[in-house]
Amino acid sequence: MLDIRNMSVFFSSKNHGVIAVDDVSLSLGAGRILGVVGESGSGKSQLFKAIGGLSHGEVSGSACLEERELLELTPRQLGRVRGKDIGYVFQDPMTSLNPFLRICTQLTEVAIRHLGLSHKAALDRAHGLLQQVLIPDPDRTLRSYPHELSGGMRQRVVIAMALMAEPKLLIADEPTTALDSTVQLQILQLLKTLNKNTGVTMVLISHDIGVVSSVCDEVLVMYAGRISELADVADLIAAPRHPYTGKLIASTPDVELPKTTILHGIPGGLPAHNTPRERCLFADRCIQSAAVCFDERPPAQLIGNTQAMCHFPLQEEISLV
Amino acid sequence: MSENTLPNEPKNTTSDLKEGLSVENVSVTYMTGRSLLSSGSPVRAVRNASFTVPEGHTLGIVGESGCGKSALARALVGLAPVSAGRVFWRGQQISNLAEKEFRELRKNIQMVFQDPYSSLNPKLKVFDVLAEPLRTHMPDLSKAEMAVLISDILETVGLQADIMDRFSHELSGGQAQRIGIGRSVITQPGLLICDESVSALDVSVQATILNLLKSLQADLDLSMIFISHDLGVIKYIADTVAVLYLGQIVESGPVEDVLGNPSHPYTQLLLRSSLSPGGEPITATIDDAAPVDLPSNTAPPEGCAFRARCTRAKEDCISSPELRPTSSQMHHAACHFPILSEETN
Repeated sequence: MLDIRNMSVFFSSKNHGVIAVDDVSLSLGAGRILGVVGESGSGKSQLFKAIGGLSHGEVSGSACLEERELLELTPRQLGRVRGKDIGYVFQDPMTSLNPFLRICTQLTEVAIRHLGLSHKAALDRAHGLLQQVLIPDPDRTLRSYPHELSGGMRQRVVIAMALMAEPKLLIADEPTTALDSTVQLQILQLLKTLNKNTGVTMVLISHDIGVVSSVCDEVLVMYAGRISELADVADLIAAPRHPYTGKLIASTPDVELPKTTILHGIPGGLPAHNTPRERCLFADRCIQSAAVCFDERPPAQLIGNTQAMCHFPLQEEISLV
Repeated sequence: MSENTLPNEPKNTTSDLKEGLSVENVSVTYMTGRSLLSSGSPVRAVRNASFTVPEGHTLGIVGESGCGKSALARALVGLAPVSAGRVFWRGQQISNLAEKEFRELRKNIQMVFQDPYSSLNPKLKVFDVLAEPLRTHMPDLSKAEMAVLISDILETVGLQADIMDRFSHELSGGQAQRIGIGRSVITQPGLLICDESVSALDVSVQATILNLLKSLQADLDLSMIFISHDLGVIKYIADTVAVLYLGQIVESGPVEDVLGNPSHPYTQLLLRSSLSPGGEPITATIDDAAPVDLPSNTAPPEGCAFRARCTRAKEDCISSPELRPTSSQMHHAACHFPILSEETN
């Protein structure tokens, strides 16, 4: 369904360049939900902005959506792909909504443009989708302006808008980060329901491994622009193979854990932009790094179904409970 | 109006108030939409909150956006007016003091904010950021003494001394928050109020900052109020917790008790919404029927504020529930139909 090969995103500036995404390859099956976890600067957003032509950097590599190469399309063609084949939902619903237009205008525009529906048919579709995203009073919402809605309602409208043209792929970039936890739960349940009922393939990008592990089938963990680990969600939580994943899970506060559990965190910070690339970028913060980690780029190692980019992937089963 | 009373509440006697912070029936009301023609409408951000924080303890305050948790924190440090009720710090009344009197007190009560960058002056080097509270509160210090205190505090918050010459934009988020904490504890306060102080940080850094706060608390014998929307963070750092809903405390008590055996349906909802790596996966079923928006705090609903969202609500909920002891004398909930511990198991 989605096949990404050797994708990189590079930002050049006057003084130095920054590699935001560094040689990422992955493929995602139809109807699956991929979670993408990483901390700020991991490149998780840039990777999935780049496949829809939303990146301002230099993009190289290949990204195929159902056999169609996305990175060779013209900006105009990409514009069509974005509404029609790929729907985007961002953290702040107001980046996707025009504050001056009523919700009905914004929703119907998508279907009229991409599906060629009549205004009446588009309005019916918008009404149906608002019901599907569990908006209690779709008629009133259609007449509203974005500022008249609460944050949770706005995010539902944006999800409905992303689904208006029946996309094959829905990319949700931190869709619940700005929302209260009770609303977050509702939105995540909604995404899960949409996935089940319509079969839409999803990418859920989040800094919160709790969110990702509760919703997704498989998880991509990114660090400093690179893949750390790619695994089925149950494997990732039960037996993380990359030391970074293990540390990330062990740093996450969890109300289910006994109060006496100690969170260790990861001392240090992201590598400087001029760090040599032929090495492991996590090595400075890793407790088990050896000389080779500073000299050679770690290979992709396969353990079961898990792919870990590490010279010394964790082998034994770790119990978190 | 319900009587929002917490355990250990001193009943208007001043004898045992010397310990830590005591908040009695505090309300914080803002006016919004004020113009030449209208005096605006009141927003009742905090209603009748009472609690104590014994010396050396941490109270966690948890709630969703708009529940008044930040308004409460700001009122305690004099950044927002206390419209009713009283606040005592080590026996001294500190609510609605004149700015001059409060200045002396600020040495003792300090705050750490959410955004580590916007709370640091971008034009000051780290040294001057840390020197500012010393110049204000300890003007008699010599330059040499000040430099010693500053390099000590940098060590305390886990930073190298060479960071002194940098500006805040040259710091990472974790470093900037360490400076923010250093600035707050350099005057050796007795009470530290942390308002979502780790929410803007990546989890790997967040954990190290939480550990720093824990060790500072032990070393300096700090009392802390820690405000967060994250129950996992609250459980990690707090001894007791108060759950705030629409400006009112709806449940309070020892943190393990409240989060392990929630009595109030709202606390239970928050717990169910808290997603953890090893937790139950979310299923494709919608269990909360219709999504309900938070009621407004310009016109808070009559009776229990949570009843519109509550699955247990009955007719009685039209009257305001009082905070009452539940499973133990320390654990209180304001609910007519509290969840019994047998139900949760």
